[in-house]
Amino acid sequence: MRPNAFPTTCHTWIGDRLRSAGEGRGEVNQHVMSVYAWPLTVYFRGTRDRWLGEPDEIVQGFFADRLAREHFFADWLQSGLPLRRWLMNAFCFYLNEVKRTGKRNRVEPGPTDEQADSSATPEEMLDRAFVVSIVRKALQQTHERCAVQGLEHHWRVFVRHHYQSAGYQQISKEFGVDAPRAAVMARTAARKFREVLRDLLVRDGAAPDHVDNEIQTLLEVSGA
Amino acid sequence: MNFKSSARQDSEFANLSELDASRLFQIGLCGPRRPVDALIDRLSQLDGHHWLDSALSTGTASMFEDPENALIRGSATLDQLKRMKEEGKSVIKRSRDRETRLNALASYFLAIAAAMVHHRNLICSRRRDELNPVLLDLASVAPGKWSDLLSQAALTPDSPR
Repeated sequence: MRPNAFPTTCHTWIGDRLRSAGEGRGEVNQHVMSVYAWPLTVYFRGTRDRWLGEPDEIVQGFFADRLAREHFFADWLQSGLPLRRWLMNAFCFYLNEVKRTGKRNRVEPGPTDEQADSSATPEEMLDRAFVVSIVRKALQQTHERCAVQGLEHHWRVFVRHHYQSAGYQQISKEFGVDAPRAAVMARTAARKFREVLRDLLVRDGAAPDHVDNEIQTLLEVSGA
Repeated sequence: MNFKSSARQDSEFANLSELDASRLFQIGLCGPRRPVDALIDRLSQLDGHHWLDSALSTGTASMFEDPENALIRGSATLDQLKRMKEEGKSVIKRSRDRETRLNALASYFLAIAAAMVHHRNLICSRRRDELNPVLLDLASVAPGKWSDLLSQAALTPDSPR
């Protein structure tokens, strides 16, 4: 019989949530769906199995099936893989199951000669989409943190400078602060963004001491 | 569980492009830990502002009767600021006590910032492209008036040497 408890040596955010009573598992599932739905959808679109159905529905079906399994995350932690790779592997198994079900129901494969959108492999497409998804999540969480801490203006200055590429002179006019103050406000929010982003990468399985390496690797895949 | 609604993304950044995401993703890089990061961490603590007041009244900056007047309002001469910076550097090198080193590091950077803002003079050998991010990082955690001094220093051009 397999151990029921989540391994106590796994002091990760996911490990901690799964060991806690109550809503822990739900929080983990919410996190996984909000960060990984988009990368898996992009991955699916890049495979030869895309005839199986609407990407959103296939990915939701995958989550519904696998996230309900008791040992799903314990098995991931023991695998040593990044969570996105673990999910991708599990998704491949799921797609095979869907295909087998389709064969039993005499559903014929659709055309697969349609070219994917990119010359990248499905794995590379997943990693690129993961970067987009994790940045989006980090932006959302940083905004929430700034709002709670009364730093809404810092957040807006950060977005204007780092996302919309506005210069500090322009921002200083828009916000009624001098340019040095605008630079500090952006930096304050950027520090929070960095913390959130790095935490999300640790949740994906990166060792805290190797987060910079993970970022570099993903940037190379992204072509940055 | 509603799997469909759970997967919704924040609408403001729903159309984030790969290019924008890559650019923002680079903000996550920390690089090797710098000595100044220990000071930034100390100033980030809840009592950081109180700690800085105390550090300025007991450390290298106490060579001035009124550090605020000398450094923020600019009454210190360039020679005094150079002495303050050199004294801070010396303490950082010889002291084994962490608090003393942090204290001296704060004085070191505030002397550099004051020289930049009030005398347009870069009194250290660091390049501006290395120094400015450090000053802005410190400004993002320092108390208001000290934050202003540090941020102004980061964006003040120095006179040609």
